Parts: sequence; structure tokens; C-alpha cells
Amino acid sequence: MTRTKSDLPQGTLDLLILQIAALGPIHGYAIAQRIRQVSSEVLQVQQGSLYPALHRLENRGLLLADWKPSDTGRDAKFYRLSARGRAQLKLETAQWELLTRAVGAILRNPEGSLS
Amino acid sequence: MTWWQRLWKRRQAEAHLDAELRDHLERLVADNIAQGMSRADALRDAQLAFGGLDQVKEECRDARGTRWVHDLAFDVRFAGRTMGRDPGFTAVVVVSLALGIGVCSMAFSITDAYFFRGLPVDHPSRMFHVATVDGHGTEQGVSLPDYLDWRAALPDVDMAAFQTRQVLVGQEGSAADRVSGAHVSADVFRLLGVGAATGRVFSGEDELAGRTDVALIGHRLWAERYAGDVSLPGQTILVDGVPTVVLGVMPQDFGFPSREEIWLPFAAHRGPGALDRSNRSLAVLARIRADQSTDAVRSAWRAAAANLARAYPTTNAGIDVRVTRFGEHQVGRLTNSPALMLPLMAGIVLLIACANVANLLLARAGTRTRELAIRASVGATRGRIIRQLLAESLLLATLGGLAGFALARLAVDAVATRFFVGYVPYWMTFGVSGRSLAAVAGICVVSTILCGLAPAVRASRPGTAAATRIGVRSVMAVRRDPWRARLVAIQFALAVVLLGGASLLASSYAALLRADSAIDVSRFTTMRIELPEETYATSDRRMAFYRRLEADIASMPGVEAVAFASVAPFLGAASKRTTIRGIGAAGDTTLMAGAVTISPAYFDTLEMTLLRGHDFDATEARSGLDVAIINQLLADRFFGGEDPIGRQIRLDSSTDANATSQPPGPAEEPDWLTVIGIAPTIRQAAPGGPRPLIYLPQGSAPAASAQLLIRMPTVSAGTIADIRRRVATIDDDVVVVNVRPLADTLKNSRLQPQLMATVLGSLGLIALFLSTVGLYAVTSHGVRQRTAEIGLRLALGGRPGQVVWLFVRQGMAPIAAGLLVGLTGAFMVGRLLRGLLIGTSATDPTTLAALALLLTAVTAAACVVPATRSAHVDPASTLRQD
Repeated sequence: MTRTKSDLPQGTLDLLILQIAALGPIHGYAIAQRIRQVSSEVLQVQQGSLYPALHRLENRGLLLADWKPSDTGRDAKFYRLSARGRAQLKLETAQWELLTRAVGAILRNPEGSLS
Repeated sequence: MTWWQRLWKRRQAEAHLDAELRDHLERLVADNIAQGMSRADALRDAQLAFGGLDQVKEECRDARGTRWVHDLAFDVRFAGRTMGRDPGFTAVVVVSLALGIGVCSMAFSITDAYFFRGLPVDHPSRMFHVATVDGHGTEQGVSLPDYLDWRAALPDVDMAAFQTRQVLVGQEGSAADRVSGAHVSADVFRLLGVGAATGRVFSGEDELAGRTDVALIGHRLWAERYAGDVSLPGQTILVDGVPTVVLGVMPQDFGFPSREEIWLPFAAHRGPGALDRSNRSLAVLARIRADQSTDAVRSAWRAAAANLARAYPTTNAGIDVRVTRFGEHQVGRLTNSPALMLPLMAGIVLLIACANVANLLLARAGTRTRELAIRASVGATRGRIIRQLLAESLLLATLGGLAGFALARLAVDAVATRFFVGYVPYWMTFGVSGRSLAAVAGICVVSTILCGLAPAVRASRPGTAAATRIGVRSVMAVRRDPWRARLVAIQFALAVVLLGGASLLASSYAALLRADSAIDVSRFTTMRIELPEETYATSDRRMAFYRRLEADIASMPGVEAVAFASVAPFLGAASKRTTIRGIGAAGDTTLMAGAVTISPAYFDTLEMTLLRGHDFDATEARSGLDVAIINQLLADRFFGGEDPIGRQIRLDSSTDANATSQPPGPAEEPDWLTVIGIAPTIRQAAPGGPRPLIYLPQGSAPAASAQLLIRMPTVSAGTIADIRRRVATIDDDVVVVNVRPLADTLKNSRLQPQLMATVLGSLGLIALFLSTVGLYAVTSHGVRQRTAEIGLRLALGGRPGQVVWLFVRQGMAPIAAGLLVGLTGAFMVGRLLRGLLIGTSATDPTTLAALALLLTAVTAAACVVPATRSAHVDPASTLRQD
């Protein structure tokens, strides 16, 4: 019953999270901020819906999590990419590029033919 | 955290989740304030941007992947509470399941041990018993030359020969015991893969050397006669008076082929006639290989027999071969045995138990529709409701299954030690077999779950559940489930069938006990006296010995009375074709009757009083004048109500029931005998019921062996030794065997009918219990469910009596149908049981009528009691009641 209230296509949020976590350990709030910043506030993600996605990725073993002291002085949960997560990110990025190219080609060609 | 950590450290996971989300919100609020919002605005904006906190938490919990376990635990706890709220319901379901599973796996395990287990070898189904069959279809043994030719003709089949016989085992200076023994070839031990416990078994070398002076001793004989003497192997004992060396002692659970206690070399039995092809006294054990088909081996064997029939027509013409599974040869086929009743009846109990459970669960489903509808309407998914009901069903099934398993083990132990161990072939082992338990438990669990899920299916039907059940109170609209009536009818029918069969067996067993009570068996000891034929060739010499021994024993202190009979009571009687001479125009009557020769004091010794006429007097008894005493059964059945005293009967010489097919005998017609007395009926040939019996004076045909009956209240080993000594003083070539209290003989003869009566009787009682409890529970539950309807009918002016009558009528309808089917079934079972019944007709209308009445009364009570209770409550309160 997970419903992301963003306009993101299915699975895209996972891809974004993996991409951001690949840059180094980062906590949930920072991930939300980053998504907003890098997409120039185009992507609207209900911030709460980030967490079920994070936890799912963690339980699938794609993300690893540690509780560490943060800038506020309190402990925060920092996520980083596991080896499996890195492989998954590569795979999904490749798939995403293939998909966007294909969709782009169709959109550029009104007959809908790829040739 | 791993999945297990997430499952077990649930509290820590919750704390982490809470801390993480709170951290996020606090950062959001801090940033908002930093951008210049007021604290209140910052908080509100953060909450909006974040979304519902609790909903996010729920979604995170779902993401953990441990949710179903917690749900399951919750469901089981909830199911436990539901069961606790209705302990009567729970008890009936669990007890029904336990009895069904327990009784059924007990019956299946015993049937399995008796009929299907076979020899204790790796592949019992590959072990066969081979015998010959003559042109009339009569089974015979195998002759030694035929066996040797078979070995040559069938090199691919592993076979061994054996022959059982009674053996006298003794030592210098002590009396011999008669035990069952077998001559076996060394191959037997190889085929069975059995060695000696102490010492060694026969080897091929022993056989080649032609050794006949060796023996193997069974464990029980070793323990009882030789006090477990470990130095026995190597010692010399007397076997039939011949010095023989004990080679070894066999393991405790060995008794091949059945319950033998001594084994002798195959060569030892080769007398002068051993090489005669018509001397068919051997049995053959064969093992086929895994790659051989039974049918191929069988046809090869028959071809070999056909070759022998061509080569030796005088001895082997028409001789065929019968290859049977070894166990089947010894105990017969289940399908031809009355023991088939056991699994069939147990199956019926299982069906009744399942019907009980199904019916109760369906009945409860009706009352739970509303509860489930409420659950569905507050957001429980269909899967969630099904899971909850599944948990309840599983909990019930688990409890019932565990109790059933314990019950099955107790029952198998009790029945096996009481009726089988010590009386059946050594290879039968009794225990709850995993296979049958799994099958039976599977049936019960599946039926429980299926019926337990019925309400979920109903509750999730669109429309009906949520809409109609909650707000709108339905009074008349309680849908009656047609399956409930059908299940009640089926259950009722099954119970009548089973109880019909069980009560027939019980009354038959009671008749048997009545017949046996004519003799007070506790004070009698019997033994067989065997005279050597050479010394006692004439009747006079035999009679002289018997008279002398009788007088000698009678003078012993403690002996109250002594008598001889050809066969003691319960041990059998020669069956003779008997003719009753007709009077005047009436023709002769022919029948089969047992015949026993007795000494004069026989009836006095047994303390049986003749019902009519007089006992043989001294002259009649000694000289064998043409007189006879018949039993009451013969008198009642075959004399057409006329007085048998003074009438004449004749015993035809043939003991064969099919004697009519033989050519009429030569001029030597047997004499007509005059009936002088009528004796009470006892079971001369047990097991089995009383049969027509004729007593003849011993002097008419004194045989070379006779049974000695001694009435003495207390028997000690000393008395028995004294009797043996007295026999030996008169003639030390005379053998005393089978010294046995009459009570033991009677006990053995009762085992089979007692087993059937006990087991089927208890099955019948269980079925009665289950079906009455089930019928009552289901019927009264159905009536209680319609309390509101009763209230409405009363409020609209119905009289209480009318309302109660309405419910009785509706409740009894399935009973009528069930009764009809059940009585038909009971009559059929009675016909099946006919062979087992003693003194009871196969269709006992009184018993069946009583049963039908009882079950009908129970159902009627189940309708009347709750209906009356509801009918006497103020209609207003029943209508308001939920």
C-alpha cells in the first residue's frame, strides 16, 4: 500500500535515492533536500514517502545504515550504498537511459517507428 | 538489521523509526524558522510537507517484511481468546478431531501390521510363499524332488525350503516339552538376513556334510527352559529323544515362519519317503530380485511345474503352482477377512468426526457473519480475514491432532498387547505408523480448514456482508444452510450403520459368554495323552491303559474328578456327516455335526447336568453299545420340535462335507445309534459359535490319543510333575503334551470375537458419543440462532407449543432421511458380519430400533430444549437481543 505522492514514474524514487547515496553517507533529510535542489524543485516528493522507500532499500540490502553523530549534535541515521546497491544502481541507470532514449525516439518520430 | 533482528528486536526498530522521522521533522522546522517563519507556521508547514506521520510509520513497518509474523501471532492469540469464549464449542471440535484421528490411525496401524507389513527384510513385498495346487484347487506343499527340480529350472530365483512340525525338546533326566519347530535349509537364514544371537546358524557346509544332529534354539525357549544359559551353544539336548548339539540361540524377535522355537536342519527330516514326488510336505520361501516382475516369475514357475507334470504324469499330473506374498499366505487377504470391518468402521468414525467438525464450524460461521462484516467494513482486507480464520482453524486442528496422536499410541499399545502380541507371527510389529497417522490427520486438518474458511468466503461476497448485516437487523432472513441439514443426515446415517454393526457383535459376544458359562473353566486342567501305536494296537489295550490311568489320577490328593475325551471342550471336534432317521413317512435329515468320544465320568467331571435322558452307564461306556448323547442345539434345530430321546441317528464315516460327490460306499453301513440324552450346549470348537454336537462312548472307538480332563481347584508344578511321573510309571513310552489350564484354552478361543467386540464396540460407543454431541450441538445452535425469529412469531401471536413444534419438525427432517439410509446400511453391514455372529441373527431389529430411537430422542431434545427456552422468554427481550 505504498503510494508515493510524487509525479515520479514507478521505481524512479529508488533510482534517485541510490544515486544520491552513492556520493557518500547521508541522512534522510539531506536526501530529501538534495532531490529538491538537483531537480530545481521540479520533482515534488512528499517528504514522508521517502522513508518507506529508504527502509525497503535497506531491507533489500542495497543500502546500509549507521547511526552517527550529525551536525545538530544528535545521532542521525546515515545511509550509504552497499556493493550490491552499487551494482543495482549501475543496472538501473543503464535501463533508465535505454528507456528514455527509446521514449525520446518515439516522441521525436510522430509515426512511432524506431527505424 | 537482518530480518531476524527486525523480527525479534521490534521495540528497538520502532525506537529507531521514531527517532529518524522526528529528526527529519525537527530539521525541517529548524530550516523553516531559519527562513523567517514563526514557530507555529514552521511546524504546520513541516507537517504538510512531510505527510501523515502515522501513515508513514505504517508504511515503514510494512517495508520491514516481518509484518505477517506479528499478524500471525496476533491472529493466534485472538483465536485462542475466541476459543476460550466458547469452551463447549472448542471442546467438541477438539475431542471430535482427537477421537477421529486417534481411532482411525489405531485401526489403520493394526491393519497395516497384520496384513501389509510382511517379513522384517528390506523389501518384504519381494518375499513369496510357494505351494502347489492340485486339480481340485486344494493347496498342498512341495515334494523334495520337485523343489530340487525347481531350483534347477529357475536359477534366477532365490529360494529356500522349510517344514514346520511339533518337536519334543528335553534333556536327560527331565520331561520333554512339545514346541513348534521347523526344518530349514541354510538358505532361509541367508534370504532373511538373520544370524544367531549367540553361537551360529546352519551353514552350507553343515548341509553338505549331511549333519542332522544340530539344532538352533529360539530366544523364548532358551530363556524359559534353559534359564538364559549363555553356555548352551555347544551343549547336547534331546530332540525327539535324539541327542542333538545346540549350534546357536536365535534373536529375541525371530520365529520364522510364524512363532517357531526350534530349528532343525533340512536334512534331518529326510525319512525314507523323502524322495517320493507325491510326498508334498515342504513349504518354499522365495525372494525375487528387484528387476524381476512377480508375474514373470509366476509364469516361469508355472511352466516349470507344467514340465514336471509332463515328465512325471503319475505323481504330478494336474499339479500347478501358487505363488503368494509371504505375509498374505500366512494371514490371508484383508479383503477376504472379517478384519476388514476394522478399517471400514474406523473410517466411518473418522467421517462422523469430520462431519461433526464441519457442521460445528459451519454453524458458527452463521453467527460470525456479522463480526466479519464489521471487520471488513473497518478496513480488514479479504486476505486478512481469511488469515484470521485460518489461524483459528489451524489452532483447533493442531490441538485435535496432538490429542489424536497421543490417543492413537495408547490405543495401539492396549490393543496389541491385549490381543496380538504372543499370538501372532513374529514378524508383525505394532506401532502407530507414520503413514496412516499422516493420512488421517491430513483428512481432518484439511476438512477443518475448509470448513473454517467458509465464513470468510461468505463474508467477502460483495454486498451481502457489509450492507445487510450491520445496520439492518434481519430476523427472518437467517439463511438456512442446506449443507447443515445434509451433514446431520449423513452423520446420523453413518452412526446408525456403525452402531448397528457394533451392537450385533456385542450381543453376539454376550451370547458366546453365556454359552461358555455352562462350564466353570477355572478348575480344570487338560493334557493330551499319546499312546505309541505299536504297543497299543487294539481297542482293548488302549481302554485298559485309559482305565488304569484314570483310576490312578483320581486317587491323587487334590484331584476332584477325572475324565477322558477325544477332544477337550473348546479345542474342536471331528466333523461328521450325520443322518437322523425319519419316522414314518418323514425322510431322513442330513447335517454336519461334531463328534466327541467321552469316558463315563465326563459330564460329572465337567459338572454339566444333562437336560434330558441319562448319561452313558458303565456298560454302555465301556462296550460302546449303539447309544449317543446329543447337545441341545442339535436337539432343538433338527428334530422339528419332537422328542429326540429314543430317535436314531447315524454318523457316516466320511468327515468330508462334500462327500456326496463320492461314489456310494461299500456294504459296510455304519450302525444306527439311539439318542439317550440331551446335554447343554457348549462351544466344543472354539473360536466359533456353538454347533450341533454328538457325544459317543469312548469304548466305541478308543483312539491312540485322548485328552485327559482333571478337575482340581489348585494346580502346582508339583502336581503336573506327579501326573507325568504316574503316566511314566504305567508306561514310560507314553507322551504327555499340551498341559494347559482349560481357562487358557478358553481365553485363546475368545480372543478373536473379543477383539472384534471390544474394538468395534468401542468404535460404536465413540461414534454414538460423537454423533449425539454433534447432533445436539448443531441442532441447538441452529435453534438458538433463530431466537429472534421465535420472539417475532410469539409477538405476532404464535403459541409457544406451536413454535416449539415448528422447530422440532424442521430439525427432525434430516433425521428421517438419515435414518432411512442408515438402516439400509446397517442391514448390509449385518450381512457382512454374518460369519462372525454367534447366537444373534445378522439383522437384529430390536437393537437397530433402540438405536434409532436413542438418536432420534437426542435430536428431538436438541430442538426442544433451546426452542422451549426461547419460547418462554418475553418476546420483546428476544427481539431486542442481538
